[in-house]
Amino acid sequence: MSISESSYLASIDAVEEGLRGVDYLPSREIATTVFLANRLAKPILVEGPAGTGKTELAKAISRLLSRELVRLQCYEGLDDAKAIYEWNYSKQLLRIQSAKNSDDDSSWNGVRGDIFTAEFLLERPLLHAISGSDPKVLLVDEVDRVEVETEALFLEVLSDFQVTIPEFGTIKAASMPMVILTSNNTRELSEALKRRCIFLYLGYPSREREKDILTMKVPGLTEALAKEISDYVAFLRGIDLKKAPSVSESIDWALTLISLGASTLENEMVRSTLNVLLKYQGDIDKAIAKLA
Amino acid sequence: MSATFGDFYDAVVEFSRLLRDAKVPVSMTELVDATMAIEAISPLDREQLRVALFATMVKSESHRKVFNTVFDVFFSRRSNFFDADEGRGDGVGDAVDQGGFGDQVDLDGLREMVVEALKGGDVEQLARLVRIAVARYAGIERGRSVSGVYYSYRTLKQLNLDAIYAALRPEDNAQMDVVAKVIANDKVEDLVSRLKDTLEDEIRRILVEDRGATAVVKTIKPTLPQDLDFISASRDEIEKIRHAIGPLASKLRARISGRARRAKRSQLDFRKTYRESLRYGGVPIEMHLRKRRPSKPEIFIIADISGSVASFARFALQLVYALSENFSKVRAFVFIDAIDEVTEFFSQSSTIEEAIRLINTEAKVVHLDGHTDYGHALEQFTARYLDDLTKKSTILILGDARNNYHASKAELMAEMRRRSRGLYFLNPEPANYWNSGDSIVREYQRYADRVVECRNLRQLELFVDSLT
Ligand SMILES: Nc1ncnc2c1ncn2[C@@H]1O[C@H](COP(=O)(O)OP(=O)(O)OP(=O)(O)O)[C@@H](O)[C@H]1O
Ligand SMILES: [Mg+2]
Repeated sequence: MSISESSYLASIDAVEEGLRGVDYLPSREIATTVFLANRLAKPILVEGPAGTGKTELAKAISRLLSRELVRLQCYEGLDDAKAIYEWNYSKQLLRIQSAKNSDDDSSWNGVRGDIFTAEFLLERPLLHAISGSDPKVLLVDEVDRVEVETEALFLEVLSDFQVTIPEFGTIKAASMPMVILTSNNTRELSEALKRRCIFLYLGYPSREREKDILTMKVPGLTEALAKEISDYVAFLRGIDLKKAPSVSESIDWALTLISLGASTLENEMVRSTLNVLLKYQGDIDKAIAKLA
Repeated sequence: MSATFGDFYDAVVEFSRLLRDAKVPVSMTELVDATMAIEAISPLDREQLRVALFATMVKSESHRKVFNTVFDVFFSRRSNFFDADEGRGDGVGDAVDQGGFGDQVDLDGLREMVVEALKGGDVEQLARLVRIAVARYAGIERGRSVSGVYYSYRTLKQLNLDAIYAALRPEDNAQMDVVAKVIANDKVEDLVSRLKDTLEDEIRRILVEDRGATAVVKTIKPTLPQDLDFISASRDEIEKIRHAIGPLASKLRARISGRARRAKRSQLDFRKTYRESLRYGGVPIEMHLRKRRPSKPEIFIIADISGSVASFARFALQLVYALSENFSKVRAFVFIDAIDEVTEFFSQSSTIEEAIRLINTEAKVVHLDGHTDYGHALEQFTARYLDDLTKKSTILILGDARNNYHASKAELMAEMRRRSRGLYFLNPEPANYWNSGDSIVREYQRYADRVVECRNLRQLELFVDSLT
């Protein structure tokens, strides 16, 4: 860890300050958890509803530490060839071909040992995250999208920071990555995975923090309007909607309101722009009924 | 006295044991992480300690509430870790009770001060006032093994939640935009939650002092929606209960129709079979099955919707209406100190939410001062609707039978019962609190078929199931 890195992670206050400095407004809980993840050298499992800043947190940490962000986007059907490594078949083939052509008997044995070396390995995100001497930030995004059996692929990297390749042996981390896994909680993750992580739940921010996020992200937004927006959005999250507005949606709404020249929330303006905030007609109708 | 790392280490081990008792699993690895975490932070900072333990020991948001309660109990301000650095030691409260304004201020004054502290966001003042309120009104019985939610409920009842709501609401101002009004009203809900939290903190503190952390943890509330107490539920919990009612109603509907099918299939009409058999010398050649059509009851639901029991009324109405096809008719009446029929609201509205909103804004339920008056409500019901009751009517009265020392008018219930098929009183208070203070369950019990304890969805389900 470089000197500047360690100073950003030296204390909870430093993390808090640092993240702010790279345009991410952490709660005290977020800052404390990031601090601990570093001290305990454990991945953070970040869970919460859509659009509450889970992915952005990983990006912000990579900005803060000036580290490369390695992202593994999960999806159904993800396998080790896409997540960890793959042999570079065409390159191996070429090597074999050239050995054959040389007509030298002894060379085949040499080739067998040869083609299963680092040179013929294609690094996928998990392997890439631990190789190279410069430490990285590894984001395993939406891990709840892979089948529970596939989670096993991540375990070795997450707890031992190493990858085992049968033909080759075990590759130990050349540098320690900071690891963030996100989940929208569409299914229970395995106990094995959860045990290896420390846990952070990112719910909707408090009114106060959302107001600050808005003023930070939306140029030209007044403190007063930001406050009204965060209050109104907090109210909407309390009524029974199919999909509550997320932070990204409240940012979009603020941008819309600004572009329409609003300086305060009022009935007509709110009604005509609710579709930016709410994605279902039923939800929009409900919100409008509350303005009766 | 300041705690050493060793003290914290032992405490964390003990704490993990309590979490497991409260059904939050903590593995060995997680315990090790937790002890490493406290080495990395300043554990004397309660909030740092809370986050460190949560992040390492708990891996699901659904356990947060239980975790927080166990944490608050175990690392309560009373325990030897924090007593030096918290500004809320005993001194403050005692001074308030003895030398300060504690003695002089009356109930109304106390309520006003609570409202001011809430509005001004004065956390310390609020804690002081709540401390006085609990000392005066909670009626805490030392040594009793309860979770404390009823102490909180009792205190709120005395402070009068309705009056607090009224005082917190912004004044009606025609100029104000509707959006601003919506926001302001939503904030009122937030403030009331804050008051409830502060109350619970104080009560927990006393319970821990009385019985010790371990004993108190054992009484921590369950978190399944069907076990949550109606009258002490927080805002979040009320949401959970609300979401559980839909599935519960479908389950009940399936069960009811299954029962109806089976009943239809298997009822032997013994008389008819016997009568016919006489023609064949007493040999039952032909079996006659009875087409049993159990007449569906007609429901009269009469609900107390004053502050502390309002959510119970709401859930009961929601469930009964979700099952309305299993009844021949449902009529709904609500009251505080006056009664109003709200059946129309349900037929006009497309959703139960809408109907509840109409009830809250349109129903005329306040006659004098807005203190619940069962007697007056019964009088009005009798005057207006008694003739509508028939032997098909089943009457459900919903409320805690806390009558603010008004006349009970229980004799009116006798006539209501005589004219109907059955009369049930559903009470969201635990039975061991009935008949204490201004609760007059006893007087109504005489005329009701049953007074049923309905503290949670589980009990409500059992009762509603028995109706059909
Ligand atoms: N604390 C914060 N500080 C600054 N910006 C934030 C914060 N929280 C959320 N945002 C903003 O909200 C938006 C949504 O965040 P992000 O995409 O990280 O959400 P997510 O939780 O990963 O959502 P999903 O589950 O849909 O992937 C981003 O544009 C981000 O800038
Ligand atoms: Mg994301």
